[in-house]
Amino acid sequence: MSNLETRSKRLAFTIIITVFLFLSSAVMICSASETTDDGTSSVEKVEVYHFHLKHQCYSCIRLGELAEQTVNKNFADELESGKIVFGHLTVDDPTDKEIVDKYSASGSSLMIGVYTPDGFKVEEDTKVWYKLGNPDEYEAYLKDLIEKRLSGNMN
Amino acid sequence: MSFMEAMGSSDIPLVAAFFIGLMMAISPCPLATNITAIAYISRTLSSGKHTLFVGFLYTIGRILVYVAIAALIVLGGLKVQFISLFLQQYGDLLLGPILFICGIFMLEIIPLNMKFEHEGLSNLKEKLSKKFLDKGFFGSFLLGILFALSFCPFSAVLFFGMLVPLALSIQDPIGVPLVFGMATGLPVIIFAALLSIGVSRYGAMMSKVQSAEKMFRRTVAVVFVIIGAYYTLQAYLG
Repeated sequence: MSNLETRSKRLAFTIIITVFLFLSSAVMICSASETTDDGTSSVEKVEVYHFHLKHQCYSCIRLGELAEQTVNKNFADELESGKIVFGHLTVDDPTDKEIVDKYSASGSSLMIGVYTPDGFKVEEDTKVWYKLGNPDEYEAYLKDLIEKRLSGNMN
Repeated sequence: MSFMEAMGSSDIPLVAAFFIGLMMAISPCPLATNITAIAYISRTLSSGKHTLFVGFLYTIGRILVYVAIAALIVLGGLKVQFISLFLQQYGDLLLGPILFICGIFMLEIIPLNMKFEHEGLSNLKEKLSKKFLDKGFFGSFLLGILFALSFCPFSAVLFFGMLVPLALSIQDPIGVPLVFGMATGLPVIIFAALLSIGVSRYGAMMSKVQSAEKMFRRTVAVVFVIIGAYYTLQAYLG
């Protein structure tokens, strides 16, 4: 009898833990994604901007070139439809001031802006700097990152 | 993921700061300034301790600037965008002419005689000159400050794009920039230590080396003039 009681207690404990883990991971996934009820992404637009100063270093130029290649090669349809916007912007040029201020760009950088019904989120990606020596790795990384943002995954 | 990427994005903030600083030390622009600093330190080889001390003072100058900027941002709430753009635009403009002028003075083409009427001031100048200026203490400290302030585009990425967000995330205006600054001056300290060992070990040869000191000084002055002219032309015409 006591053996049976112990077994049912263990089973109940395992079920509670499993349900708890399942629920908490579901909450985490939901909070990290911007998806609609029917499962499609609610992301309206993704902007990928390469910011730089008038006087650019070699790595800064390369950062922009590789980003442009990645976007043109992998997201041609999205570029055409306007779902993705790509641009090179000069931080110390008054003509680009509005976007520079919107992104708070402070120098050479690659920034991604995501528009959702909830608002606008900006992130600076610094990992791309480590991948400048390996264009294939750079492309795979940035492609994956943009795809995540397009699908509403903000992680 | 490369080793530097893994270390530079380590979960331990001080480890990350150290490796971001190392990347700064070996990136083209700061590397050029560190080589200039090494040339400056090597120009007078009086004693091992002295050489090492000059190397440390240069690094302390660098640390001071990074800690001050990080503190202004973390504690003072200064906008990263404002200070980053300001230093990238004007730091470059100042660096070249200052190096060039220093080089010209070191060549001793123009006599630098500052006469003070006041006796106290005159004595102070003499003491300062003996303690700091002649031995290169003050100069190396100033060089550290000046070189740290002259941000190139890539060094700005490392400092404002990687280090400052790290300092902000843990609200640390001292430890993170201090470790970063130390790492940026590490090549100079290592070189100064090697020189220091060399000077102590081969002390007997030093008298011969010191006789060639004037030539050393001239060479370093020419290095300053060339690098100064290069930076000036690049900043104003390039």
